[in-house]
Formats: sequence, C-alpha cells, structure tokens
Amino acid sequence: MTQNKISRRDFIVRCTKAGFSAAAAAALAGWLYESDPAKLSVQFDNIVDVMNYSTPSVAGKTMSIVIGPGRQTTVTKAVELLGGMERFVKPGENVLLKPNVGFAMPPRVCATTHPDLIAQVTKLCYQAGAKKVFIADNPINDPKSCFELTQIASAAQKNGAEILLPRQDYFKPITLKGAELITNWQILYEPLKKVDKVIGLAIVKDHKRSIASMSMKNWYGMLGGNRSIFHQDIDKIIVELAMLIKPTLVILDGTQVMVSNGPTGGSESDLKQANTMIASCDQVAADSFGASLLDLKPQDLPYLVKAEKLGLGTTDYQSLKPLYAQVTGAG
Amino acid sequence: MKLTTARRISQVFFFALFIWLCAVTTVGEKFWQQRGWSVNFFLNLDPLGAIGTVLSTHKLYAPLLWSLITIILTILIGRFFCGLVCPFGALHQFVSHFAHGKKTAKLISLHKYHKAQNIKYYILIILLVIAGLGGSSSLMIGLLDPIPLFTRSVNLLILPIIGTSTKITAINRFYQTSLLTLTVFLTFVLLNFYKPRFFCLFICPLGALFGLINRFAILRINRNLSNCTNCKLCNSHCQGSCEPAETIKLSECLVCFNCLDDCKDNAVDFNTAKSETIQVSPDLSRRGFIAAAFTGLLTLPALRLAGASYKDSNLIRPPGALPENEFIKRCLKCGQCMRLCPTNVIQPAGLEAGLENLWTPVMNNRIGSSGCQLNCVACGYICPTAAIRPLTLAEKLGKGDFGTKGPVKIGTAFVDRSKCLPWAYGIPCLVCQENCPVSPKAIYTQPDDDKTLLRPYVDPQRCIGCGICQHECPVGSKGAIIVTPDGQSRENKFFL
Amino acid sequence: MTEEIKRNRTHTAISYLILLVLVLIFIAIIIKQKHYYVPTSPISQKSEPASPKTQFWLSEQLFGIDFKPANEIETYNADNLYEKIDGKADLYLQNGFVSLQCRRYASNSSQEDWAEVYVYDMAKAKNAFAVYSGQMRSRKQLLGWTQFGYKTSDSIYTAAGNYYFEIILSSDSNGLLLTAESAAKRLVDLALKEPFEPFAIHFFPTDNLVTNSFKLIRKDAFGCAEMENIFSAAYSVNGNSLTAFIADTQDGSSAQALFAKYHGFLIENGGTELPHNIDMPGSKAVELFGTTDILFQCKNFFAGVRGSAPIEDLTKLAISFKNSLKNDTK
Repeated sequence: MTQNKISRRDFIVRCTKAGFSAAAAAALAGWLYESDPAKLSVQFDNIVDVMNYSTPSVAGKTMSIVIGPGRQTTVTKAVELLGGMERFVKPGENVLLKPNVGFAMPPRVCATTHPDLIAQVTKLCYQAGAKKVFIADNPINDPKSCFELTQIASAAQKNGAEILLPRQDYFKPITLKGAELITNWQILYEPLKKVDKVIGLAIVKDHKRSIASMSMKNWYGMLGGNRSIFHQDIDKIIVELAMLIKPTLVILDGTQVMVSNGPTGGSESDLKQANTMIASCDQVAADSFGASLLDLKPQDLPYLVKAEKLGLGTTDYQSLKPLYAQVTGAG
Repeated sequence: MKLTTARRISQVFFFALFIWLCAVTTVGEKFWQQRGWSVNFFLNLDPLGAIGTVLSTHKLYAPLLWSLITIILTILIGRFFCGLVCPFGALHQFVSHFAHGKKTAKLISLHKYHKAQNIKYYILIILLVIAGLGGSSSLMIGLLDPIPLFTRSVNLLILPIIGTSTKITAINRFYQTSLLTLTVFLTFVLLNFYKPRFFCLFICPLGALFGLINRFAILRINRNLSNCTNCKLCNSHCQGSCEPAETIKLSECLVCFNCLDDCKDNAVDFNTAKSETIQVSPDLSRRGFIAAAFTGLLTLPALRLAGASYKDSNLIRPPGALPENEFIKRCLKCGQCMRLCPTNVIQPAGLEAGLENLWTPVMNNRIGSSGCQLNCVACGYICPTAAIRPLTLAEKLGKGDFGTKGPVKIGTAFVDRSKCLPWAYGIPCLVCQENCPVSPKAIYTQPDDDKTLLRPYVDPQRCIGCGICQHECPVGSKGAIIVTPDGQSRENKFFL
Repeated sequence: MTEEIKRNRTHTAISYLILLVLVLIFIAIIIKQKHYYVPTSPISQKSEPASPKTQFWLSEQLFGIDFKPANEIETYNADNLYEKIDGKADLYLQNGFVSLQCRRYASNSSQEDWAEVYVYDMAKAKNAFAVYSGQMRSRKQLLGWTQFGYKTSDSIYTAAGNYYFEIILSSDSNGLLLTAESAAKRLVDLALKEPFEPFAIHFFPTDNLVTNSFKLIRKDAFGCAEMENIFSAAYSVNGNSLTAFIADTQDGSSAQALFAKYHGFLIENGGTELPHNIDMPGSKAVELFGTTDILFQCKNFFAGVRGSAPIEDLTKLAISFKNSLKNDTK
C-alpha cells in the first residue's frame, strides 16, 4: 500500500502559498480596520467662500437710474453712466449673464427677462472686448422650453451669446462657509467657474412669499435639488445666495413691472409701465429702489433688512448718490 | 472517533447555537434574553459581509474582523465552514438526508457533479460588483448570503410562528413581507428534494467565495490511486458533489468527510498528500466571468432606473440609521434589528421601494406595541455592520454632550384634519398628545372656535417622529396622525 | 495494518481537536453573556451623585424590619428628571429642583405590598413648599405631626426643611400606610435637622391660626393681577375668618411697589380708605365690598390682613404679624 505522500518541496510551496494568502488577507483587514461606527452627520468637504466677481468700487458711480420707454437705450445709458461696460468687462474676459428665465412664457407677460435686454447687454459686453458671453439659469419649467418661449435663446443666438442649459453635471454640492441653508446643496457651479465676470439681469415682480422678486431673488436660479423647501425661510436663502455670489453688476429692469399675480402674472392687467432701468454694483441698493416701483419701502422686504445688517449692501440707496438720466426713443 | 462523527457533532452544535442565539435576541436580562449573548456570532464570522462592506465603504468595521479567522482557516484547510459550521448548510444536509433513499446506485448518480455548480461563482461576482460600484454602491449580498438569509428566515418567520402557535411569547410578533421571506426560504429548503444541498452547490455566494480561496489548502481530500478499486462508493454521500471517485473538484469539497467513511479500501483520506486526480480551481471560464461582471454592472443602475427609490417611498428608518446612501452600503438585511426591537415597530420593507430596499428595516407605526420607545437604543446596539449607528441615549435624546445637536429625528408627525376626531367630528380625543413622550411635548392643543374641545397640533421643531402618536390613534387604517420621513436629522434637509 | 491504525489515530486526534474547539467556543460564549449592557434601561449620562447625606436617609432600615430595599437608590438631576416622572418634571424644574433620589421597599412577607420613596432636594424651604402646595391631591387627610404634610389612602406627601417627600404605596392596606407614615416621620426628622432658611410661611403668627391652612397663590391673588406668589394663612377670630398674607418680595423697593399697586387696585375698584391706626405707622386700611384690608410693609416684605371682621380684630392680628416679621427676620 503505497501512500501518495507529498514531496517536501511541494509541501513547502503549498504552505508558502497558503501562508501568503492568509497574510495578505490579514494585512488588508488590518489596513482597513475601523473600530468606530460611522457618524450620523455628514462632514462637508465642499466648503467654499464667497465667489466674488465684483470690480473695485468708484465713488459716485455705484448706481444709475435711467427713465425711458426703450430697454436697449435705457440700459446702454445706465451702464454708460457708471463708466461704460469697459469698466466692468476687460478684453478677453468671459462673462456670464444671469437672467430670469424661470417660466416658459412669452416676453409680453414680463415674467422673465426681456430678450431685448439680453441682446443689448450681450452687444455691450462684446463691444467692451469680452471673449465669450454665456447665459445660464436653472428655470422652474422645462429649461429648453423656457429659453425658447421667452425668446432669450434666439436673442442669444443672434448676438453670439452661448446658452448653457442646466445639465446634471453642471451642478455641484457646495457648502457656503457660515451658511445654514446652503450646506451640501446643489449649486449651478460650472457656468460660474467658466467666467470672469457675472452680470445679473433681473426684473421687478410682485411675489407672495418674498413680497417682491428683484435682483437678489434672481439668484434663486442658481440653486438645484429640491429647492422648493427653501421657501420655508425665503429671506434667509436670498441672503445666503447674496453671500455666495457677489456679482460684477446687476441690471434691474423696471420698464414693465409686474404689480399683481406675481411671479408668473399672465395678463396685461398685471403690468404697470414704469419705464425705469437700474444698473447697480450694490444689489441691495438696487432692490431698495426697485421696491418703490411696487409702492413698497425697503423695510417691507425682510431680506433687504437682513442683507444690510450683514453688510452685503445698503438700503439707503440715496447715500450712494445714484446718477439719474432720461432717454427717449423706443428700442 | 471518526471524523464524520466529529463533523456531525459540530454541525449539531453550531445549528443549535444558531437557533439559540436567534431565540435570545430579545431585550432583557434573563438568561433566555439578550444579556451578553454574542448574537451576531455567525454574522461576524461571515467573511462575505466583511468583504461586501469593505468594497462598499472602504473600511472594515471592527466586529467583522472575526471573519478573518474564517478566511485564514479556509485558506489552510478548505471549506470547513460549509461542512462543519454553517447552520443553513446543516439544515440542507439534514433535509437532504430524509429526502432521498438509501440505494447506493441512486445515490451515486444523485451526487454527480453538475457544471451548473459554477453559477454560484457568477452570483458572487455579480454581488461583489454591485457592492464595489463606487460612490453609489449597494450591499445586496444579504439577499443570498446564507447567514443573513437564514438569520432573517429564523427571525422573521420561524421564531414568530413558533412563538405565536405555542404561546411561548407573551405577545404575538408580526412581520410584514412574510410571504416573500417564506417563499425564498422554503424554496431553498425544498430544492433539496431535487438535489442534495442544492443551495450550497448552485447558489451560495459564501460557498463560492470559499471555493475560490481554498486552492492552497494544506489539508485536503485525497484519493490514493494504488489503493483505490474504482468502486465509486465514495461518491455516494458526497455533500459537495465534488466526485472524489473521479477528478476531485477541490473547490466544491465541503469537508464533510463522508467519503472517508464510504471507502472500504482506505483509499480516501484528508491529509497533505498530493493527489494526481485533483482539480483545484472551480470551473470558471473567462467568458463567464466577464458576463457576470457585466450583469453586475448593469443590475444596480437598472434597479435605480425605476425611480422607486427610498426618497419617494414613505420609508422611515430606525433612529441611528446612517444617511441613506451610507445605510444602503451596509445593511445586510439580516433582520436582527427587527427581532430585537422591543415594540415590534421595525419591519422588513417589501418591494415598494425596489429590490435594493427589500428586507431593510423600516418603521411601521401601526404594527407592534407602541411606536419607537423614547429610551431605547436597542437596534443600533445589535446591527452587525453599524448601518444603524449604535447610539447612546444621550446622542439619541440630544442631551449632555449632544445638547446643541438636538435629538435624533426620524420623521415628523402630521395631523390629518380630515380624519382626526376633534378636527373632523368635534369628538374629544387627544390620545396622541397624551402619549407624546418628549418633554416639552411635540403635540400641543388649542381650543376650537366654540371653545368646547381641544384639538391637537404638531410642533415640527420638537417632533422626533417616534410614531407613538400614530400607534395610539384610535382612527383606523393609517391613523389620523401620520408620521412621514420629512425632517429627519440624518438627511441634511431643512424642514422648518 | 499499521497504516490503518496510524490513520485512525490521526482521525481521532483531529476529531477531538474539533470537539475541543467547540467546547472552547461554548465556554467563551457562556462567559461573554455574563457581561452585558442592557440598551433600553435609562442611563444618566452626566449624573453627579446627589447630596451624599440623602443616601443614608434611604437606608435599609427606613421601613423597619419587615421591609427591605427592592433596588438600588436611583439618582436623577435636572437633566434627566423627566425620565423618572415625565411631564411632572416641569413643576420641579421651575422651582429650583436639585436632585431626586428614590428607592423601592418591598415587604418580606407579602409580595403585593411595596412602597416607593421619593426624596426631592429642592435647595430651599420655600421651593419645597411650592412643589408641595402646587400639587395637593384631593381626598386628603392632614398629618397632625408635621407642619406641611397629608396622606391619601395610598400615598403620603410632606415637605420639611429643603426637602419634599413622597411615598407611593402599592395598595391601600392600612398596615402599609401606617408603616409608611413612620418612615415619613423619620425622613422629616432628618430633613429638619439640616439648616434651612425660613420663608414667609414661618412668620405667620400662630395664635388663632387654622392648622395647615397655608396656601401659595401663584397669581391674581385677591383679584389683583400684579399680586403673584402670595403666601396666605387662615385665621379664626371670634367666629370670623381672617386671612393673613405676605408677598414674596426680595427687597424693600419691590415690596413698596407692590404695596402701592395693590392699594391702588383696591381704591380704583371703589374701595374706601379708612383712618390710620396710630400703632401702625405707614399702614393703610381699605374697605371694599364688605372686606377690609389692612396693608403694611415691614423691611423687605409687603404683607397684610384681610377679612369681613371687626376692625379691632384685624388690627390686632396685623400688629401681631408685623411684630413677628420685625423680630424674626433680619
């Protein structure tokens, strides 16, 4: 009866292989060993500070108010009064225009930024030497329909601006330093990263929840995710958005103001012809003046009061010595 | 003493231990209750749980380190776990023994190796790929890993049935999704009538894992060709269908030692000898491997495509559950939390939130004795992978060091004014307010317009979502005060 | 043949090794199950031990030889008081609660008879009285041997010194109640041995005082909104009921302010000012709807006597009250 004994050499080989595998398993286990169970709260590693696109301030040239029926002429004058677009946009720079494209409605409803305004501001930017003008927003209705029905898409195309539709990969979860609401929240980050200057193009509208929707509320369109929950503390989110993004310039279009049934409106009777165009480096001041177009005082808008307390701007727009002008001519 | 005798004793020991540990998993200090019994003994020894969580979380949670023993021993002596320890395997072996006759010729053909035995390797690959799929991975191992599977079947099916029918337990326990649990369990047990240890041979991913790592085993089954008379008797009781009479498939050998007993010529032994007739690796083809990996890559995204995710279902997790995407990377679906929960409020989810969430713990406030007790942290205490974090009472209640953080909230209660008795019918009640356990209460009252009765209101800042109010509400169906997952403290949402 | 024997020996050795491992696992599990942490019992995370002296009060012998303690002394502080008494914690927490120690005593002979003793350290005698009077049960019988104490058919409540005691019984057996009362006596004695600051109650004159008629009126005393935290006691003089009261003011100026407020309240509602009593400079007397109030200030206290009784009786009581305040207070 012969045994099929294993040779010593084979035995050692087998033992070595087994030993190595066992040791490798043990080493891997030791390396990955974690005795503490995972914590309940998520630690954020995506903290950002303010995204500052502003240019140095020039005394007496912070805010301008131009009266006139034609958007294109009033906005040109308004920007001219502040030093022209060359003050804000340097040659070779990329610019982001952030209009209100919230709803898929035609321009005559005035629930969104007027395409004429987009067209003119784009022209001004290119005239100042901008390399590329981008337009972005995260609308409430379907994005593509919004850009098309508001005719902002065609205005952009006619003037060489590129629309950045809010794709999934354009959003990034961000935590704003010192914020309570913008913590690990999806923000439309990619367009902001691409550019050197950011110009807000807002309109003046009545709003049930925030009382009014103007240049500060306009940045709501930078939020992604399930942002409707922020309506539970609308003033805080508006203020935090102003803490997150310091724009180069805001243009507040008060040519046709939505005085009722905002922010969607829908009827001519909701509009008032105010023929006012505001350009401002201080969006708190812009909104403070814009409030008067809705027969409101800055104190009626809690977010303005909060923003002023945090040093984000002033509600006393008179102290900025705004420059006034009047232009005729439609267009 | 024969090795088979020792093996049988070992199987009986571990099977009895398993059932005992499941049975004592109830809150209390008597010897038949939790005390310090290591009720996660088998789950901790199960290397598939460890490897799965390592792939999904990139960390090895401390208690799972015990499985290293299993792995090292398997590397050294083969699939001893399958043959001597695994209680599910012991069950299958026992059933198979009674399911088939004793005629030798029939037995030999019954235990023939079948190529489909390599399916379990593909199942293992699919499950590991799903677990390792980067940031959005999911631990689906618990669905088929025998230890969680058997633990769940015993916890959520066998023990409650025994408890209810023999009246051992004072109160009947209920577990939803029972039909699914029964079907899965019974199917595998009854399949033994078709082929002995069907589950172990064709499906078990744990066995597959062992089959992949036992190739360097120092001790193994050997057939001495010079003694062998080719009578094929050693195949007649081979549990792993690894055919010691022909080319022994080492990856399939379950270390049951039956072939040693059956051989009349002392040709089969379990030793270090080098056998000429041995195939060390399993029958895996490269093509099969790729196909399995591909299936794994597609499966998880496919499941999530349906959109029936956790977010949209009304799933409320137990207190201490990690944020959902971390939770789903760790939950073994073992049912321990459901078994231990003193009020029976933790239930296994069904398919309402997709296959991913099947058998994961959710709260059903209308089942059980009371909703989630305020001063109880049992579920986290027992979770083998800390998918439910083991909270201290201070952390759960937001006291002491956790004072600024506040209590753990698992949801918020909403009064359905169309059904609530004082609101809808002017009938006085307020059972919800009475039973709200937090102090100050999260349910307050205001008189109605006639000042004749008081109506309940919920303060969302104080409500922790424990569901005791929903449980006590006398209105039928879901009750008139309903807890939803809004405002959970583990998700970074703001519900003001 | 030897090969076979060698083989059998090896097998036997391995078998026994396997059995040994099983036994070791079994032993390890048995040992482990002895050391446990029960996850559902309340855990005081930050429990400072309460005043050690009360540990001795809840002694083995507190209930006599027929009873013995059924558990360890439980201690609760402000953080976790609600764990023991749930919603009732608010009353204590609002009144300067420091700690609660409680213990259960079970009868050696009868399984159904047990008592749970609660010792509340309220820091001040005034606070102890506040929680005592703030939750008085109905259907009670006053205890004759202590200033603040009463019993019901299955419980005893008493305040003494800086402490408030409750003894809750498992049944309304008379024997159990008597044993509990003796235990309460011991506790009251222990409490009174400690120094405590007398408060308003202790300054009421004792002549003609209706026993245990002390009340703490939290607000709107006598109809006046500003009259908060007023201690009162009832007197019976010549068949008439009089009420003496004292406000818990902390200093002279607030006493003076409250004096003026209450006086003003009486006059506004149609009261008539009565002539001064020479023996009580600074006092005022007002008659309104048949009730006469004599108000005065003594040091930091604003106090008074009122009732539908002859002015002489009221004055006598007022003078006695003022003297008591003058003498006994600093």
